[in-house]
Amino acid sequence: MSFHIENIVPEYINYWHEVGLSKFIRVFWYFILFEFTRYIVIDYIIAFIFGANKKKRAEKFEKARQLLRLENPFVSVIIPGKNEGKHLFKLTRSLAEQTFSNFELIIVDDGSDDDTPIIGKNLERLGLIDKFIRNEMRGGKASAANLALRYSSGKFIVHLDADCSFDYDAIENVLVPFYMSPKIAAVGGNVKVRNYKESLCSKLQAIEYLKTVSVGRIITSYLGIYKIISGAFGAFRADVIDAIGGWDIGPGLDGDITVKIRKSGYKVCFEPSAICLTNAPSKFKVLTKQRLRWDKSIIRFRVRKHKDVYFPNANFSWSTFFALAENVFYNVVLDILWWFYIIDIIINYSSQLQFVIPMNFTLYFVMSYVQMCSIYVFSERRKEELYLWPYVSLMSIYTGTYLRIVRTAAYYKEFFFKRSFEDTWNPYKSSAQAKKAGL
Amino acid sequence: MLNVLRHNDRTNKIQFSGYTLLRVDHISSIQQESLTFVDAIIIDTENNEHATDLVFFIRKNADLAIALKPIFINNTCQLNKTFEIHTDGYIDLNELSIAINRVDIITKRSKRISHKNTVGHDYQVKQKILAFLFTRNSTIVPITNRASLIGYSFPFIDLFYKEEEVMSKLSMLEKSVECGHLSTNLKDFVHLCKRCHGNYLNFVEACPKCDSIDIKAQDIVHHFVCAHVAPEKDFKTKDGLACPKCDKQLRHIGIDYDKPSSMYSCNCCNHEFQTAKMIAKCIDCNAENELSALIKKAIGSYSITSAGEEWLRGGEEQSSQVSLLNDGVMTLSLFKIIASQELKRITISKSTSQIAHILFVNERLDTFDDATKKLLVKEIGAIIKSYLLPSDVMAADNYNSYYLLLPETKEQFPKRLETIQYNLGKLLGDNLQERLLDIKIQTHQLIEKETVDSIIKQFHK
Ligand SMILES: [Zn+2]
Ligand SMILES: [Zn+2]
Ligand SMILES: [Zn+2]
Ligand SMILES: [Zn+2]
Ligand SMILES: [Zn+2]
Repeated sequence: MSFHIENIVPEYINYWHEVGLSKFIRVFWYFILFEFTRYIVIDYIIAFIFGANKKKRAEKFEKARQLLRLENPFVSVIIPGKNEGKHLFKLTRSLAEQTFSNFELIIVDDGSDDDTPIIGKNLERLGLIDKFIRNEMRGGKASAANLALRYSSGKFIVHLDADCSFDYDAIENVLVPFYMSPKIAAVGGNVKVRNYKESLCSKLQAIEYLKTVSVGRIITSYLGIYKIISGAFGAFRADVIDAIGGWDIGPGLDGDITVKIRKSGYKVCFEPSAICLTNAPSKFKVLTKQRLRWDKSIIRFRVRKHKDVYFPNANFSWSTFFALAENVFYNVVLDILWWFYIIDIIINYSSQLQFVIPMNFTLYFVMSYVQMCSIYVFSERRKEELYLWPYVSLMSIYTGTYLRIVRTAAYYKEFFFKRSFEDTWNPYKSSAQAKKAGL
Repeated sequence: MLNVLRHNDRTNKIQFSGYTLLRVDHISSIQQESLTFVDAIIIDTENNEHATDLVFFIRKNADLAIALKPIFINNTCQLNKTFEIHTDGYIDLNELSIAINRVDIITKRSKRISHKNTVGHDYQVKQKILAFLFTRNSTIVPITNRASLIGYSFPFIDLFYKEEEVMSKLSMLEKSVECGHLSTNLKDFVHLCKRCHGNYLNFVEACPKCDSIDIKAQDIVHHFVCAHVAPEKDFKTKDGLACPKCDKQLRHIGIDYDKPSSMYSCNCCNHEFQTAKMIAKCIDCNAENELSALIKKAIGSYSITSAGEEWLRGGEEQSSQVSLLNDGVMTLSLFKIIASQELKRITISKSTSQIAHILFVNERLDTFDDATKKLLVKEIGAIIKSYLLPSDVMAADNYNSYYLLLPETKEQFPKRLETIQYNLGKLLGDNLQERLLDIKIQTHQLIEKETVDSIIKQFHK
C-alpha cells in the first residue's frame, strides 16, 4: 500500500511542479482567489493582529466587566419554542449556575402538542421559571420571541434555545461588550457542538462550527462585518430591539434582526468567551433539511428583503453593506462561481482530470489543517477539540461537495420558486400573509 | 289548647299488641320513668328544642338497649326537617299497626346484640351506629344540609359528634369501613377548609405573586405579517385594531391576525402571568386555602356488613376465634378457594365430594361466659378434627358455624358426621342441658358448574 502511495503522489505533484506557476493559477483560480485568501491569508493576518492586541483587549474587557458588575442590570432571558418542555428543567439548572444572576426567565410555549404546558406551568409554580406563557395556537418562532419580548422587563434581552447549555460565565460574558461601547446593541454568543462524539455528521458540524461560527465570527466581528447572531445564544439591548419592532417573520430571523439593528445605526459584535453548547443534527437527512432552510433564508432576506443596503440612500452604511455583501458573496456568488469553475475545468482540462482532481483535494486537505491551526490558536477548549483533528481530512468532501450541493438546491428553489414561504417551520397563516406582503 | 292538656297529663302510655309506647312532650316526663319497660317513644310536641332534648336523652343513654329504642314523632306535630332524620319517622296514633311492625323488628333485633360494657367514646359510638344499622336493618344515607359545616348531615351519627368534631366523625366511619364492619356507597366528595373543615368556600382567581384578587385578563393579539405579538390594548384604536409595529389595520381574525392566548395582569403588583392561582376562601373562618391544601373527603351512605354484625354479637371475643383458627382450622375465604378447586377437580375426575355445615342453632354458644366459651370452642375444634379423615378440610366462619370439605365421599350423611354430631351434643349436654337438636348438620354433594358461594347460601336458608 505504502509503495503505491509513494508512486502516485509524486506523479501529480511533479506534474504541477513542471507545468509552472501560471498554469497552476489558471487551473486552481477558484481556490487561490477565494478559498486561500479568505480562509488562510485573512485568518492569519487577523490572528496575528489579535495576538498582538491580546493584552489590550483583555484590559478593555476587564474594565467593561467591572462596569457591568457595578450596574448589575436586570436582564430578561427569553426562550421561545415548540415542544421544548423536556429540556426546561435541565436548562433552569444550568442557568442557576451562572455567575450573573440578576435575570428573569421567560418561556414561551408556541403551541406545543406534548407535555410542555404541564412541565412549564409546574416549573413556574415552583418558581424556577418567572413567566411561562403558552400560545394555544402556534404562531411561529418570531411571534413567540416577540411575545416574550412584550412581557420582559429587563434592560437587556438574552435569547436562548431550550436545548442549549452554558459555561458558568456565559451570560456575564455576553453582556460585557455592551459596556465597551454605547453603539453596541447586540452581541452574539459562541455556539459550539456538544454532541460532537455522537456521529460522523455531528463531528463534521463541530469542525464547521469551529471554523465558521467561532473563528469566522471573531474575524467578521473584528472587521465590523459580523452579520448573524445565532438564535441559540444572543443578547440585545431592550430599547433598541423594541424600537425596531422585535423579530420579523422567519426563517432566518436570527440574521434578519442583526441586519435590522445594523440598519438602525448600531453595532453588532461577537463575544468568543460567551460559550454555549448545542446539539447538532446527528443524521445527514436532518442536517440537509436544516441547511436547506438556512440557505433559502439568505436569498429571501439578504438578497430580497434587505436589498436596499446595497444602494446608496439615507441609511447607507459601509459596514452593513460589507456585512451583507460578504455574506452574499461568500455564499451565493461563490456558489455560482464554483459551478462556473467546474464547467471551466471540464471544457478546458478534461484530458488532465487525473491531475486536477487529486490536486484540488490535496489543496483543500492541506488548507483544512492549516485552518485548524488557527482555530487552535483561538480556542479555549483546545484539548477536547484535538479529538476532532483526524476528521478534518473529510472536510473538503463535507463543505466542498455536500454543503455546496445542498446550498445550490436551496438557492435554486428559493430564487425561482420562493419555496421558503411553504416551509412548515412557520404556520401557514403567517407564511401566506408574508408572501402576499412580499417579505 | 290540646297541648296544655297533655302537659298536665305527663305520662301517657299506650298499650298495643303486647308493646308499650310512651308518649312524651318534655324531657322531664321521661326522666323519672324507667325506660327499660317501654318499647318505643312517641314525641308529641311542636317545640323543636324539647324534641331535640328528648332524642339526645334517649340516643345518648349509656344503656344500649335504651339508646336503640324506636323514637317516633306524632304526625300531628310539625318539627324541623333536619331533626326528623334522627328519629324513626312519623306515627299515626290512629293507625298504630305499621309502627308496631317496626317496633317488633327493632325490639327482636336488639335482643340479638350482646350488651357489653365498652370503653372509649369512638368505640361506644361505633357500637351504637352498628347496632342502629343492625336493628333498623337499613342504611344511613347522608342528607345535604347548608347548616352543616361539611354540607352533609348523617342521620343518627351526627347525634354523637359536635359540629367541630366532623373530622373524627369521618375518620371513625373510614376506619369502620377499613376493618370491614361497615360498607359504604360513595355519594359525593367534599373539599374542606384546612383550618376549620368547613365546606362553604368561595373560589377566586388570584395573582400568584401577591395573592391579590384584583387581576384582569387580556387577549393576546398576533399580527401574522410582521409577527408582532402584544395584548389587545396595544392594538386598540378608536376605529378598531391597528398594529403598532407596522401600522396596518387588523381586519379579519384568522386571516391577518389571531388571538393565540390571554394574559392576566395584577392591578396590585403589576405582575403579568398566564396561570392564575386559585384560592378557596373559607366563608366561616376567612382562611385562604390553596386548592391543593383543601382536605378532600368522601361522603357515602353506610350499611353494616356481616362482619360488622358478627362484631356486634361477639365484640372483643374475636380473639378467641383467632386462637381457634390457629389450631389448624382455616378461614372461610381460604376454604372457599380450596372448595372451588375441588369443584374443578370433580368436574374432570367425575368423583363425588361433599361440603358439610355444622351450625349451633340460636347462637347457643353466646349464652356462655367468655372463659367457658373459649374452652368450649377449643373442645369443639378438637372433637370435629378428631373424627375427620386426613383429606378432609375444616373451616370456621365463627364459633357457631363450621364448614367441612369431604373429598371422595359418596354417602349422603357419612358416618363420621354422625359421630361428630353425637359427640358435640354430648359436649353441650355436659355443660348446659342441651339437646342434640340444637346442633344442625347439613351436607351438600358437589355438582359441576355450581359455585361455593351458592352452596354456602343454601345452607343459610
Ligand atoms: Zn342551586
Ligand atoms: Zn375555614
Ligand atoms: Zn400585591
Ligand atoms: Zn403588524
Ligand atoms: Zn400581584
